Amino acid sequence: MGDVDDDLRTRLAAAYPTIRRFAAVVGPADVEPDDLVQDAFVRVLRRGIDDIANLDAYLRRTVLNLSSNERRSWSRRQRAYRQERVVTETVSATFVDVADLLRLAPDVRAVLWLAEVEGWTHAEIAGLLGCSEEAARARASRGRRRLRLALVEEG
Amino acid sequence: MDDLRSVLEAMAERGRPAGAEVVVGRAEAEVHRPRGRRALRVAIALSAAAAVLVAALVGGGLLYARTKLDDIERLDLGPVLAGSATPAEPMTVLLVGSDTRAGLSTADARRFGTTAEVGSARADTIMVLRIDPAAGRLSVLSLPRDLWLPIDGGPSQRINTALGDGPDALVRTVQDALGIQLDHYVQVDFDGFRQVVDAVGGVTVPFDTPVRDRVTGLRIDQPGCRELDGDQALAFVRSRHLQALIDGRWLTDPRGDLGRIERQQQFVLSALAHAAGARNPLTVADLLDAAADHVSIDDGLSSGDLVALGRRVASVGAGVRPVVLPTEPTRVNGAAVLTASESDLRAAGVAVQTHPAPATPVPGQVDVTPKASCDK
Repeated sequence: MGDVDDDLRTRLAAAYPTIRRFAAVVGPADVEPDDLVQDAFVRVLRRGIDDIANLDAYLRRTVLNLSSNERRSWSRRQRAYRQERVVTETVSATFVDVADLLRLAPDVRAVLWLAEVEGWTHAEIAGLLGCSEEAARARASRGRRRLRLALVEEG
Repeated sequence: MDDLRSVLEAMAERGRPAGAEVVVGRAEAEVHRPRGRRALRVAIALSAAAAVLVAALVGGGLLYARTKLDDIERLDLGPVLAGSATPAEPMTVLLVGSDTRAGLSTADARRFGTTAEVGSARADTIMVLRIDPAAGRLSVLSLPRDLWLPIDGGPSQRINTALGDGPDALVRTVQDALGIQLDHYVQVDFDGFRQVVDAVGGVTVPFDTPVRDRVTGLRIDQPGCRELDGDQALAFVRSRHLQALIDGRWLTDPRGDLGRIERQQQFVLSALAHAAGARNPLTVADLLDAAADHVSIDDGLSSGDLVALGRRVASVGAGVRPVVLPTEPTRVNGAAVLTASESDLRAAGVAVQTHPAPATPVPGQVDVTPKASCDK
């Protein structure tokens, strides 16, 4: 790994802040976001940059896949409440809503993040995550609907 | 739904140690890095720090106990602490529940990762204890973790970040804010908490109503005295979103972290009583193991002093006075923090040092009386 070329190193370092935030939102709460990012970087380094047309999209898909896998194995371990504990510690003011967000699937969270915060259109999100535009739109509305339900139940 | 965006943004910052940098190029070595380390290290609210200590000390006459107590990690804090002349004199102790140990052994560092890898330690629970052995009194002042203070004479931050600069930085930060001199320092990590509670066979807590916290996973279906094991106790003392079932409706404790502080103090009293009552040698041995592995103290406290101190804390009983610092919730650069006025901080410093009688309240002092009791 000593000969990682400087260009790739620079591109990964530049991608880091965006991907780190994405991983923090999409990843299970008992997985350190930096671990997800690190794994995604490792895959890029193994494959070599030539194989990867769009670095940003590739990193996001990898993080999302890792998150979905982690979430499944985590569910089997029945550690539901630990998950929420972790995030609560970090975002004290809004933890009710964070807990609600955590109940959503990683791909739903990913779409909400990309649409609400990064400001992509559903078509662009579809391109980034490798799904259809309809799927992106459906996930966003499913996420918003579930959050509304959660808030109603809360009150 | 307006705040979906802000919730997402808050979430995006989770688990981020200050000044985190990405390392590119060490990839092969990192592939099998264990997952969720940070999660395991997550802070607990550690009221049982006191319990570990006291319990360890109750069995202090035993040779095994002496040996174990000598294993407790000593921190060189001589330059910032006053120290107390003799164990019989009043002393002020900073009690810290942290999400990591200040000085991991090499083996632990291999197991959990070094500070450089996982980010610096943060203090989850910060309490100032004032013990007056002659008068049989103990004052407790809890400082909320989100309290916004100048850190070690520098720019303001949440107080819980001060530990990242070392225990001495936290000591100076607290001393400067409250205008008091601290004598000793005790730090306990999260795992010590669970071990202590399990070692004493659970801690009994009174509940007036069914309660739950959907965030920490706490669920108590029946009111009355309930014995909590280590995991449940953790869910209880870490709860910042406690809901009580009143007249068929789940109502949320609006006090957040401040409500949590009150529950922690209540829990300390209960845990103290349990630990102080421990006479079973196996229980004492478990407690001592927990203390040796999860407690750090300043090097001004000898094992003999610890034993003497623990016995006295355990004997204080009803003489415990909680001191509450008035705070204002606010936002700094989007972060939810708590601020306190300089005069309120000083008043709380005075109150914790002077043990004023409840009949003559001073600013900054509030009496918190447990609503129910579980005395046997």
